[in-house]
Amino acid sequence: MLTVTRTPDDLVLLHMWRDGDEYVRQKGELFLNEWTNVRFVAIPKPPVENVHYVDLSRETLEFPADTFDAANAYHILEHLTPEEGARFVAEVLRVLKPGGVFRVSVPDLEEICRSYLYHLGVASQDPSLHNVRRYRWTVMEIFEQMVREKTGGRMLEALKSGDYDREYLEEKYSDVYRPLLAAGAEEPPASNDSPSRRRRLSRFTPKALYGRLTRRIRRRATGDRKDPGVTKERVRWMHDRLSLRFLMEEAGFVEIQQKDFKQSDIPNWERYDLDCSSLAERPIDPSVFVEGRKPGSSAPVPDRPVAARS
Amino acid sequence: MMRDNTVTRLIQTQSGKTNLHVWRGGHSYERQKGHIYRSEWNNLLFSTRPQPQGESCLLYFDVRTPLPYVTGTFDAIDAFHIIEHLTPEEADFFLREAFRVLRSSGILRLSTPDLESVCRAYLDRVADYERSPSATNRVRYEWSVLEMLDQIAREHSSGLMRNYIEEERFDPGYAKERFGDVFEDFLGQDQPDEANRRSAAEHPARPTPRAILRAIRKRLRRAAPFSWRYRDPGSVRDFRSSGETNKWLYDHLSLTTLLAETGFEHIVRKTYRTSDIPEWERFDLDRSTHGDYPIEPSLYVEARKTRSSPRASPQ
Repeated sequence: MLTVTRTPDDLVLLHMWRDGDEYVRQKGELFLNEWTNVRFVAIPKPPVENVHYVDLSRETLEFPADTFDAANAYHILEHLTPEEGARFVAEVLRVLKPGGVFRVSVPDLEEICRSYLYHLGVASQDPSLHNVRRYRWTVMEIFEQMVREKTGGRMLEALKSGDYDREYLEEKYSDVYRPLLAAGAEEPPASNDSPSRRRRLSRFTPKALYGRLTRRIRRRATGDRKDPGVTKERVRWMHDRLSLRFLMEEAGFVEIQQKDFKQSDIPNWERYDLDCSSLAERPIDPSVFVEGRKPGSSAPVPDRPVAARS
Repeated sequence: MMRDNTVTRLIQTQSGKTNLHVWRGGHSYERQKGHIYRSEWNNLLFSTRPQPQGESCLLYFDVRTPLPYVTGTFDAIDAFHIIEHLTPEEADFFLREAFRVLRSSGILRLSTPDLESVCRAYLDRVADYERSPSATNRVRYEWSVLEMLDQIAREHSSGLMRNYIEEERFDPGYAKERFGDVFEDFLGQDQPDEANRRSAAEHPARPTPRAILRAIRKRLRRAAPFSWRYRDPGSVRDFRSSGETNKWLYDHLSLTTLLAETGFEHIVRKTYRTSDIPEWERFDLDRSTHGDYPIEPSLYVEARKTRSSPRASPQ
């Protein structure tokens, strides 16, 4: 059994996420100190206090049933196949207390498709570099993370070569790409297309050969860390408000509602505000947010009027 | 220099043109159009399976390798649902190869699922369900999502669509509208893949040096201690490189851009009925024989080779 952490109000809250440097930078202190944390990885990472590493695509949550007052799955479900996702949601239902709230956030397929069609229209009318770059990014938003064959994929390539529209990313993903946007990517690094003869030869020095060999062995032993299937960054399915609702309904959740990045029925959400950027009134990562409740009467929650009082 | 796999015996159409037809197979398509493309077109079937014995009309071929034809061979090429099964780099390579084997002013016809149409259909199905949350609208909505994602996400043959069909969660009318006659293939009345696999097992092809090497590596990997094969011999990986999954999706804008970047000119959008390929009315490869609708609803784009050499590769 994994250990649980209690909040100062004596609640037991489950936080699950996979990755996001900026997210951890902004919110890490809150959830690492007060929530019980499960990080979705295939290969365990170096231990961090109060973080359990679980491969949510195949492992169960090693908590007793009816443990948590609420659970938040931040950008997990899109990295699971629909079957794995159904199993995962059922597992969360099990560990929640009756009346416990489950919040799910994932990229919003519906919004992404609308945005793609809009930018396709604009770029077809006026194929300026600015419009075409925006349009190309929206195409990648739909499926690039599903087809990528190495970590970072084409999105990273575009970011590295400067082939993207800075304004678009600033409007929509300014937190996600903040380190990059802040690093003054204004002058993209010059692409070094033809490595010099010397560099090509240096690939065959004993040191380089030894390095390549050991890396290869290590990769065999631990799994290829550049393989998006192993890093779990590969997106396995995309969701929208309907599919999340069906998924939760089928698992047995009730009172399923779409929320925005500020709203939640999780007790004391104002204190955590995990989906709102600390820098401005905007979501850290634009998403669709859906919540459901485990059936059964909830124990009265501190600081929250019980519905029956009205 | 002549490559050793170069095809020298070429078929001509009735009016003496030399055409190339590239596709991935499909039973309804074969049933409806097989007699036409087998008798008048040269055929490359995009596959990583070995050439079945006794199959002389179709050449099983991995189009991620150089096409087995002399430069400037063809008057027209029809690449039916190929490009979405290639990564953008592989697609660039394939288009350059198509450019090479076309004659001057030769025509390339591409067909592929239309990302734009798929997205519009999906958003319409979301709206339909919101307006009237019936069981039918839910199934239609679910299929619109499958249409967009399943061929990209699947890691096993037939993917989630197979599950939905087995559970009879589909609306035949809607499926027919979106997938055309190809939906009959999904229903599994015929399983060309199975049949092919069986015939390949009965008549094993002569092993190539590459296949032998692969077999040795596979044995070695199986013999290695467990920690060395963390990746589990990669059945998923092998499946993903088999050509069944979609590696990218296109719309008219990205497809015309891609063709222009390769060096093609006179790029025009077509329908399942129209083409600039001579004698197309007779071939009519994209229209169902059961009625006036496409065998597989697609985006159709044609382009011409007017320059002598392709544009420089972006890399």
